[in-house]
Amino acid sequence: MTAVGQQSQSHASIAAPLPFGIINVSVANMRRLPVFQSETVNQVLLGTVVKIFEWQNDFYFVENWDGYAGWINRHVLHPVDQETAENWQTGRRVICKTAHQGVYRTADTASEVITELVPCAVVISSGKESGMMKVQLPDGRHGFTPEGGLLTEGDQELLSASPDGVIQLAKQFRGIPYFWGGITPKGFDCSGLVQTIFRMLNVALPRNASQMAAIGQEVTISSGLQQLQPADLLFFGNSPRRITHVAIYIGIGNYLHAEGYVKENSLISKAPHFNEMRRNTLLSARRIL
Amino acid sequence: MRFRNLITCISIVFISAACQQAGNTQLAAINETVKAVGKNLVPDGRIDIFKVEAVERDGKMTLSGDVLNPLVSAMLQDSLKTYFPDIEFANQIQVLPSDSLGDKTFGIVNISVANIRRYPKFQAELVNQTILGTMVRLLKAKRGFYYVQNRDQYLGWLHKNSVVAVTAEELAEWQNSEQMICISNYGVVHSAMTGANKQMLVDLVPGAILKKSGDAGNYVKVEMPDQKIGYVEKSVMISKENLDKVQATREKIITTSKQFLGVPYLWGGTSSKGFDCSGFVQTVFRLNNMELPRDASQIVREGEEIATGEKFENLVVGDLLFFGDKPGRISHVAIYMGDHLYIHSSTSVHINSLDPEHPLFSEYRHRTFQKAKRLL
Repeated sequence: MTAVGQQSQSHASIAAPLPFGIINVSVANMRRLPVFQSETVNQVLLGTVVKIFEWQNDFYFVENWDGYAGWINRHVLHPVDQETAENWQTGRRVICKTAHQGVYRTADTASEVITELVPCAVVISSGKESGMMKVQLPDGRHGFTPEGGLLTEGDQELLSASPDGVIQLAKQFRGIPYFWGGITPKGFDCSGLVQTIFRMLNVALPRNASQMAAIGQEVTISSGLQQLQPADLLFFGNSPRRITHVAIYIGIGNYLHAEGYVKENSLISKAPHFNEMRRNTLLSARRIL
Repeated sequence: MRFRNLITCISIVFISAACQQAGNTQLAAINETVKAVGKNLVPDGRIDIFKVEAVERDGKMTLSGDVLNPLVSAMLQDSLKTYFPDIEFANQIQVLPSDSLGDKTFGIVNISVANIRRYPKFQAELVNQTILGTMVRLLKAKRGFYYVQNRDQYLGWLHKNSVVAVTAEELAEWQNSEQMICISNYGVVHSAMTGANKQMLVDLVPGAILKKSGDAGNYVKVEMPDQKIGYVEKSVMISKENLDKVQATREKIITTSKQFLGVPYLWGGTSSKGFDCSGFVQTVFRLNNMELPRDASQIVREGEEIATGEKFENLVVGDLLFFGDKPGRISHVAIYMGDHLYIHSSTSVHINSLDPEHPLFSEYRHRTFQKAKRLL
């Protein structure tokens, strides 16, 4: 677990009713403190199994798959025992790969939406009906969703991330607004964008920029940009000990990142999209692939 | 809502600490008066500004701080003259917008959904959101954020990257242009209709406003607030002219509400990416050409109260239902759909029932129901 939300552990602990929970809405906000007004530190997606550590004020303190811990409202998850959690983890899991799609009450996209799916959301497949996939939600409800937007977990695990794949996905998200703590195409923060793109290609990265700067291999940039390759990560900050921003290098001095919205900027001063502030605060680069 | 209590407590503690520090009973008495007058003139700090205090500066009693309405500043000085006739007050009250903004005192939102926060930092509470193409008043700037007033009068801090700052003339030009409004949950503006240059410029949520700059078959050619040109599918947009003609009906309100089923809850959210309870209601009504205030506790002041009857038999489709844990304190709002069903944003946009026999019955909401209002 990271330090996020740790101050909350000094509060009186109340045992949660069950040790695990499965997220039951498309996007759940993980907050620093057990109130809605608190900072969004991360988001947890539909179908994610989380461990519940404590419970107060209608909020659970949980740990996400990426090791980030914080508070989520109790209504966004379906509490389960260990066996049910394991069954969910080993069921016929399918993973959303589109920016958004609906799960409908019947096998008809004109029927009511029960929930949406965002990239990396997980549901259980229970067969096909009228050209749609019938899926089970964490709380046992069933619905129907277009099959083309889903990958089985088996197929997802066969994906092999290439620099081209990373850049193609990153370009698809151009124009998405910035959202502090966001990891979905509803709104991304800088590291949420990078984490989600790599996760869609079956590469698990930690949650924030400073954690990402500690993995992969260093690419030397002290004597220029010539060593950089597409899909390398660029790290920015005012001091090497305080990395606060991350971007994906896409070649020829250009990179994609979430700043205001997901956009392309350049490290080269004569380029039209040159971003002087970022060039002045560029600290390091890492190769993940 | 509970949190607002806390904030009030903190500010009272803060004010009394400030009084003690002054160690001056007259200054304390003046500030008590300033506070009381402020509360009277600006009863709702969510939509109006009164941040004034009296300080001793260069040996002179000085009024310092921010207000939004110049009349408030004048009336405060009048009242102080009555209560403290012997004291001469120097006036350093800033009537917002701040002069430092120059003539660009308006912003047009340039991303699909922009976040308005309680303080000028990303970690602060999300209090509201505002949508692409919407005008906000810029009031002052701090640490890369603007203090803004949204179209629903609500105040908060918006990051400068979310808006294009414009003058009154430029704003008028935008507002008087031929505008198109998005009605689909998932619209997209692309830089080209086809080909290698086709990339997403911005995503659109219902209510997003763009300037029309031409027709292109099944697409509309549009201009963004920052003057980027793009193309959007005709089927996801209606003209502002046609939206202005929409007459909200009970049935239309329900149809629009159901468009958002399954959208996850977001505290402060007012878009189809994530709604809070009142953001959902406000958006549904806006898409039917009706403007509502921002919070449930403000919306409850609108319309006509309905005596629901013991079994809610007097409710009609489109009535608003208000809920709260404490009597007289409204913290939740829902739209009545008929047959004891209501639709609301809580965890996600979903339907519940007021009927204890119904499978969708929510005991909690039933127990905390407070009143119903009719706006249509």
